[in-house]
Amino acid sequence: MSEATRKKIGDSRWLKWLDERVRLKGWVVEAMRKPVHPWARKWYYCLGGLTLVTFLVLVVTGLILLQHYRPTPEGAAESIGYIMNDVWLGWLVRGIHHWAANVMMVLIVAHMVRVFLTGAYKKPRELNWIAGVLLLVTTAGFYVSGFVLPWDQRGFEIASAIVGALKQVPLVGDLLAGIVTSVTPVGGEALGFFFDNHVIVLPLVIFVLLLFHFVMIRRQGIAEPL
Amino acid sequence: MAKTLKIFKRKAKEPPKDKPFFPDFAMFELLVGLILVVLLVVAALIWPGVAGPAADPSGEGRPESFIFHSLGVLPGWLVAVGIGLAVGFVILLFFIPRLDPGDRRTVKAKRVTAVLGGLFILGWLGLYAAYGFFAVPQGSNNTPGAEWGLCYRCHGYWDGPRNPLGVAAHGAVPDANCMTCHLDHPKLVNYYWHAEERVSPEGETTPAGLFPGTHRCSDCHNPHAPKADAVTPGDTRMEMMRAGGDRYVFPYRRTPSAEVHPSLPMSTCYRCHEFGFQRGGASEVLAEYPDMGLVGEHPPLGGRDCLVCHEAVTETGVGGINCLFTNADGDVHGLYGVQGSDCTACHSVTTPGE
Repeated sequence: MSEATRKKIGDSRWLKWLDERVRLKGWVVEAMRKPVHPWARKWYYCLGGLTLVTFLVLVVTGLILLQHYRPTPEGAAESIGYIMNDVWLGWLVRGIHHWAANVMMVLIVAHMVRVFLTGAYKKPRELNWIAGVLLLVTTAGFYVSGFVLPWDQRGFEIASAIVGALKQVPLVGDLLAGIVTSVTPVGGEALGFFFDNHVIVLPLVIFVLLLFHFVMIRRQGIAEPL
Repeated sequence: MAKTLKIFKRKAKEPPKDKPFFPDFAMFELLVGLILVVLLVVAALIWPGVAGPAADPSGEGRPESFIFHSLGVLPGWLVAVGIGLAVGFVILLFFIPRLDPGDRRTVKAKRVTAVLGGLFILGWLGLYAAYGFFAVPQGSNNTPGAEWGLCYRCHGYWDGPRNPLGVAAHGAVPDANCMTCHLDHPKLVNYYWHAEERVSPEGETTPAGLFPGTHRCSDCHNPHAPKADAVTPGDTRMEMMRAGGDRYVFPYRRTPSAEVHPSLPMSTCYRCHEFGFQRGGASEVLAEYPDMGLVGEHPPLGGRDCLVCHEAVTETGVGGINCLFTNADGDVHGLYGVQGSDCTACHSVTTPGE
């Protein structure tokens, strides 16, 4: 983009009007002009950005699914059937949600492998690495709880297996399992736990972590490979 | 001379320079992101997934995927050890910067990489091996005594939607053994109306519905062929069923016929429909689905005009009325050789009380 074009955009009457009120021009210009080093212009440096793309796809498709989903043992599978058969393009939205979830898990691991192999976790980026590991854990939480939500036989068995496994933890097993549900076999209580986490708790956590992650990347830049 | 040499001297390559985030890098990310979104849509179009039946906590479990089924089969202490290892792995990840504190990657860092990779691979192999060791025979609804492990002789441990892993072909199997696996597999069995099929010890089956009399599995199926060609070539009945299923049945699940048959899973269709006929006659169909509007009583019209539900004249319509099926997906009835026939040969329209 030529300097003249940039100036023309910058002189836009509407942008001036907006900037007088929100005062973000300086920040935006700085962000747009932030130099990207040659080594960062490789395809494998896009893995983090692509993970964000899949996350945004999951947010949009998840909100659409949430509109029709009913988080009760009696209504969950039925509402999934309704989404698949009756909602306009519901089957496609659910399919995209499913594939985006799988792809996000692959991308986040691939991104972490890239960061690991290029030594990008080293000083002064240790905190951002830790945030990345927390994002991996949070995404895994999304992934597992998402499997439970349809409350089909697989979802039920996954919930049962998780509760059963938590009970095996020494000393605090029953306490941990009790957080998920106090009823056996697992039912609405467990489904509610996974639903709450999938649509409220984990989104809040991931929002905070992503914000921290991106702010740190902005402040520290992309690490030079070894 | 020196000047001539200077001309031929290669120019020193300039090191690449930094570029601003916008537009170069931002547009590149945007382009790659858009390609990813398109790929996701394509994947969803090809493999849209299925809506599984509601959970039945009191019923027998079904093997849905290796990892979660394994959690149910393996002894609790082993599951706890596995979870402990997984948690330990994640905790180890947190300490990577601490384990490799140098400015550059060191020999120590490479050892950390090797240990992490080794743990990951060994963990998966160990889990898989443990499953094979601890898997025990468990009965199911259809085949008492069948082992869950049978599933994994053909299928991979990853069970995605319509996963084709490992089901390409299997070796020669005596007819008497076909149902050991297949009767317990609802996706394979129900799809071709074998839900109520039973097999005798001699290998003779008595299929429900379409195939009256007794047949052997190998009459139609070729156990040596890949999954897609599991039907013996040249068997027109099966080929037509497959053509009919793919072309006419699948679209009904989500497109117009959802209005005709709301909320019916595909397998339910086969309970009434058999290749263009109604099993057991109209009375049996209507007893189960009184609103189908097939032969027999029409659903109450409630003073509405026929055209509220049926569309007006088309080339296959009769008497200015055309069937919903026809409008839904082209000429479905044409497949069964009734194109242009009088609708009332199969359907009757009588308002109750008249």
